[in-house]
Amino acid sequence: MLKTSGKQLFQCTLVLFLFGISINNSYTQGIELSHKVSPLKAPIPAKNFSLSDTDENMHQLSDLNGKVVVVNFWAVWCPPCREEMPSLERLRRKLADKPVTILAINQGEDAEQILSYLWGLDPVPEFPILLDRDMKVSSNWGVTGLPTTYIIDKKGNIVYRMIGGREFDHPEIVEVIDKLISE
Amino acid sequence: MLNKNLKSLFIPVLCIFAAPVNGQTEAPPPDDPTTAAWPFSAKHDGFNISLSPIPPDRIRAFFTGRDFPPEMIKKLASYCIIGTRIENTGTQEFSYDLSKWRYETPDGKQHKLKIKSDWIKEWREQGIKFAFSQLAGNPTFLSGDWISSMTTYKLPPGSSFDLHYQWNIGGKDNKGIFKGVTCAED
Repeated sequence: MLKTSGKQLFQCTLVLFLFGISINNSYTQGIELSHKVSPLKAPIPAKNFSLSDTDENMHQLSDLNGKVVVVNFWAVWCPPCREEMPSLERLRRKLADKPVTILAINQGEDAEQILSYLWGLDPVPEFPILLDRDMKVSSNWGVTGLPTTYIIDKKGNIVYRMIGGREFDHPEIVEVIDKLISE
Repeated sequence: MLNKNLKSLFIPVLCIFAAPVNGQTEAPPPDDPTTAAWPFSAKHDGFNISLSPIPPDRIRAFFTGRDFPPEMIKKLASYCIIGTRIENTGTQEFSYDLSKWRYETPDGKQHKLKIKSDWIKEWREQGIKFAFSQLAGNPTFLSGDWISSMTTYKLPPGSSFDLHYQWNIGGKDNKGIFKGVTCAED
């Protein structure tokens, strides 16, 4: 009896798992990431924040003055955020020897949930994943939807803002960041 | 297999509901599964908008996953919620103001949408910190920006309405209409 129930439970779990994958695929299939990046009309001073990462290390934006910073607001539940995440890591690797920092700020999810998702990625992101648990930083920054990504110049000003998923290692975006580094 | 089934489901839906709108709405090609998920779609010189009704079950699942209290989940699922994708494919920035959008019910009456700020107010009153999922009320989209979020209409499942939408590009207000948008069945 227990054996039969166990088999049925396994079959049921398998069906639900496969169903979940199919639903997930149906959501994420066809997400075409843009590579357009448009400058803001005027630079905006980036508001400072202090957040811990998934390893409980603190990060303060103002400590990064003199570097170009890419700040990405995201969540695991957001399909385009998931789609673009590997390209952020590829961007980090392309610019590894340059004064660029990437910070991905998660919106309100648990570190465990975030890490179990990130470990399944190829490549696995090695930049800090910050935890905006109460979503106050995204609110202060005026984030209206996910994903939203900002590029901050070496003086600490937001010069580019991108709403929606991007292919961050696309040559056009890399070129924009390279120009900011050389300014 | 499931995707194939979904595709075969969407094709007849497309045929029924892809009504011409303002002369600018495009019926997505029925053999394209990516556009078939957005049965209402319009392109206006860089301002692209697509709609896709979301079934209440999916709404319940989404907000349960965000730890919403059961009463709020019930309330959200009682609304007609439409997946709404907006994209700037042009070279100029544009903005829109959801408070100016209206939906028209078959009795000819026009109604305001329940917009993000309305939901956020209710969520904060109940101690819910979540701030996303609803289409931003009054944003500016730069070239290349796009978003896929929810818009909400106080209508029961299966209801039908016309959506009057607007956007501003280069200081000029523009209008469009989707006719016969149908809320998903429960």
